[in-house]
Amino acid sequence: MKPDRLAILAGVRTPFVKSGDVFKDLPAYELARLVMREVIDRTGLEPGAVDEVILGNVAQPAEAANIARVSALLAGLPIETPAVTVHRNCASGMESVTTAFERLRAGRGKLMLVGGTENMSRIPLFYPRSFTEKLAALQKARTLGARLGVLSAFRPRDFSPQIGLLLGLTDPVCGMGMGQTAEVLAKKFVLSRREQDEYALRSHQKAVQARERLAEEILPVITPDLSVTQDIGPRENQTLQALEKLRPIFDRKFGTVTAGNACPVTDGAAALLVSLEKDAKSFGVPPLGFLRAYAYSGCPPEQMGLGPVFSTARLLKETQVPMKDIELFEINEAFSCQVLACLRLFASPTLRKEYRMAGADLLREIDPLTLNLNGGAVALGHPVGSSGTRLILTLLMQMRRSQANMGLATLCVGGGQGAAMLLERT
Amino acid sequence: MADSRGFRIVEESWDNRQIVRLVFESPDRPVNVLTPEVMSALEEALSRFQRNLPSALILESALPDVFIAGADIHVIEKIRNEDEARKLSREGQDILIKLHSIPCPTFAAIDGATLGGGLEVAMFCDYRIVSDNPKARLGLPEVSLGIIPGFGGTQTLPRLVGFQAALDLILTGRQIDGRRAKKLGLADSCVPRGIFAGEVRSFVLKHPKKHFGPRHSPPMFLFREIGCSLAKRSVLKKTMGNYPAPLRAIEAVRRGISRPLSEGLKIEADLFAQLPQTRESRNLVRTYFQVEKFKKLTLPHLEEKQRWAKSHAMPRTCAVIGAGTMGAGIAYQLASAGLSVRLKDVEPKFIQRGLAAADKIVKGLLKKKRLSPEEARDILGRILPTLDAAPLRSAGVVIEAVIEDLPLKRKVFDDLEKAAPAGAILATNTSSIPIGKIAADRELSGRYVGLHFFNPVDKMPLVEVVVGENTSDETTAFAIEFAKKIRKTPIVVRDRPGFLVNRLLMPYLNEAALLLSEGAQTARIDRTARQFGMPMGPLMLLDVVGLDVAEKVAEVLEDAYGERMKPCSVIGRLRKEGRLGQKNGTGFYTHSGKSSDPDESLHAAGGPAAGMSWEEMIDRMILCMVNEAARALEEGIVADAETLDVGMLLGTGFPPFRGGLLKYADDRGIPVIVSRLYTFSEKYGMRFAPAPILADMARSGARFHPIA
Repeated sequence: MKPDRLAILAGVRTPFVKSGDVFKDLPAYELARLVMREVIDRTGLEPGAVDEVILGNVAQPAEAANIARVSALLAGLPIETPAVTVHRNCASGMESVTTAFERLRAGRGKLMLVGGTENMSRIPLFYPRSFTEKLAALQKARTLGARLGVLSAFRPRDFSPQIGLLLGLTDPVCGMGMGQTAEVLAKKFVLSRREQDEYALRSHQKAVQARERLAEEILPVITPDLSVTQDIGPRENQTLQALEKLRPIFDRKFGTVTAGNACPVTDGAAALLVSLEKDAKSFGVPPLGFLRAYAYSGCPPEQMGLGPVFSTARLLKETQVPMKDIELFEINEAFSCQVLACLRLFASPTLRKEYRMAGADLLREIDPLTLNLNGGAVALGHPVGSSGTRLILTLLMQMRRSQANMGLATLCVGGGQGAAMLLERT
Repeated sequence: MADSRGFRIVEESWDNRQIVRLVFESPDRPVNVLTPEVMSALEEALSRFQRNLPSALILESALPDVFIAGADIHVIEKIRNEDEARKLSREGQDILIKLHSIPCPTFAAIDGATLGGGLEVAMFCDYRIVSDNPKARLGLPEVSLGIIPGFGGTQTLPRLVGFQAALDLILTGRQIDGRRAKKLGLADSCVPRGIFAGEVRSFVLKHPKKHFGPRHSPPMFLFREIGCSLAKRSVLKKTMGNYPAPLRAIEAVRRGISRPLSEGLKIEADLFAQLPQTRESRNLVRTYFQVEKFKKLTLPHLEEKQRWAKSHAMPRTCAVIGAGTMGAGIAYQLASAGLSVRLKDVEPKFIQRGLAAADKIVKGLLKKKRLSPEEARDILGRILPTLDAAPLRSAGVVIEAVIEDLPLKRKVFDDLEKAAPAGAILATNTSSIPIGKIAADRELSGRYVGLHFFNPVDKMPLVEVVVGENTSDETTAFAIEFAKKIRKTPIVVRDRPGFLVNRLLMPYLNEAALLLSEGAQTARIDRTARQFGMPMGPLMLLDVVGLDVAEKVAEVLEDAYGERMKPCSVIGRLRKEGRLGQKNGTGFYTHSGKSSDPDESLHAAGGPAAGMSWEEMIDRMILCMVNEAARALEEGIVADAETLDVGMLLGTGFPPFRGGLLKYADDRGIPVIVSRLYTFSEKYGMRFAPAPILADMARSGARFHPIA
């Protein structure tokens, strides 16, 4: 018997907007609320039909603990509907989909609302521990003398904040920031600055050309104060010259990774309605496509950018699907050099040798004409909790346009993991 | 053991103390009401307690969400003269004084609506314990019925909460919740609803003594006089002297507050006695009952279908097409009633303007503390804009509110029929285009209906449910129930141009413009109408509505009804000059910020109407409405005179103390009106020629309303 596939009934996302821009006053739960309601309204299904809400989110804002629940209630889902937030770092927006897949296969419901949300503009700054401790001591101090004593112990450095965003983008195990892991790949695979900038330029050009196509998956966000109908990232007039002028940020001396050839820090949310293939008919909504199988895999944390290769190899091994059957690819563009490194590794058995990778023999070269047809995160942006969901949505919509039957959406994960989703149109 | 006394007596022993609980309940009424029978039973019970004194007496209610809803309005309605009124008040006061002076401590345990006489009973108790139940609202709404509190309320309330706060509550009839009551001193304790019974018990046990005497000392003479005269001035400004009750209420408070309670009560009874038999009170009571009836409107032939619609067909999600003033207002109204709304327009900037309008309404309510920040967020959150028709798939009802343009509306509905789910109700907020034309030659024409809202939507309580030729009974029944669900009062009207309200209002507005062009001054015209009792002068109203909108409505009416509806040229002239009214700062008035000043350049100096009498001016404006109303009634635009009166009351603010447009006509006398109209038609033109039906009525001595 053919195993059940996950039917994606409908999907939508907000425009992706660079952090600090117009979405800075819309918390992540607000962005999630909008897409959740839209995806339900578009199908005409009753919110009560949703058995569970599963939402990926990385930064987990302190004021909205279990952000999936907060968003679900604000979106008008019934109070009986449970909600859970999942976190697999940059793959959180895929984790929500695969978690739903497993729960549905286990018989825990028929319809699930999944997705991811992130507002990186709103990740707070933290006080250092020394400040926290002294503040606690101050509250305990009873007499004026004791208070003055504690107050005099404060030093300027106690007030210098730690930046939450940077903490989140740093892998505590290998001690590297994400940008630094990209520099590792650039040097290891000898990827030139020019090569990376050209890749970035192409991403912008593709995204700009895809405006109308991308609009099909976007819910415009309109409030009294703002109106955003499309992604803010892609630049119509991006040139190589402009990219070349930027200075490397993670390695000033020998580095090649710049703000121009890496993905921008971004705000955005995406949501899908999913059910098992066998139940899909009962909802009366023709599916966008199906998730046939998926794989997560670990990889060296300091080369986390290679995650897509590791997870794809595992996926191919487990499904025994020949890679040549896959017609379209989405590889998340955390960094231009990281995608380029993956492409090298997909193409070269020699390079792969060094990594002990189950299923490595099944990998094949990826034709650039089948990759990221509508641009990628370098242009569109990468709201970490949402990108996974967006890749699935964007790829399914493109498979329909291209009449492609099989597609692969894959993404690298901070901390050294990869995620790969095998999608089918019919 | 429930009985017709309206309460039962429960004797209990709490910590060896003998407690009597007087539990109000009403087997044959939805709420507890102080009928004469209940009052005399109360008196009898109190006499019994006098002889056999318990250690505490607790008044409470067995009904959820109601303590005592007030005195019996039907009794007030039947009062014929001052003596009867005084007797009613004195007898009630005497009974409550008994309650007040019984030697054991008395408690009112309030977990529901406590209004009018109900609150007066509670205020004569020694202590009041109120729950935080949101339905537990306290207030003295008597002035809205043209009377004043007659069971001591004007005396006890100022002694509990102070003179200023008491005046505010009595004059506005405002209802407050438990928390506010505690803050003001009206309640001694406000406790969480869930543990109400236990808290009442421990409060009673902790207060073994009576609490005589006022909680607030009377204000100083000067303070009292200044406060009262300010209150009087503001009442006169608001009511133009048309409502006697608030003035009597101020008088009762002013004269009673510094005297002993017994003298104050006598003053109150004397002042109360002047009111129930007045025309104002009669009409206010009458319109109160009428409006209550229409709030719950059930048409006999649709009863079954309405019940079904209410329980099965109410949608979760609605769509509003067009985010202009009306669309935005409707979206707000639906969202505030808990419905999800998709607000659709063609451009983000239109939607932004609409959202900002809804935002402004909600922020206003937030500022007045009528909404909590969470409620405000939820209401606004329910309005989700869309540029695309796809999400309309979830909408059980769509309300079109685009500009008044038939081809555009047809086009909108072509798309809606495809986008909305099968079975959705297709409603239009058109103010002038017949539903029949919008729905013509459509397979789904049975699902088309008019839901005509009034501007500003959040404030105007009326919705005209316009039934087109092909509108099915199911759709009409749905529309009535839907209007009720979104907290509007429906009237059902026939699908003729202008429906009811605009058709009747336009001649009045037009006449005002004609008066201006004949030399009357803007301010004088508007003041005349306000003195009559209209909430806003007609020229100001034209400015608020917008002269472009008014012109369009006027043209439609002229097309349909001919010469008598010919719009005054001033309206068109102003529109052509780009003076659209309030929306762009200039019309009949110059509007800037909150102030509006008449534009004197519009005055036709030396015209024949410059020195026209008040009576002549007001009759020209009002009697042309009466004339048109007679025609509309004859054509069956509405079912009866009552519907017409309620429509004009809620749709235009026709003064409630006059009891309605046609009630006013009856009171003036149809023959008088017809003869005035004949005179006017000779003097001012054929538009005043009395409708044949009106002339017939004058001859036969018929009236619009049966004599009560």
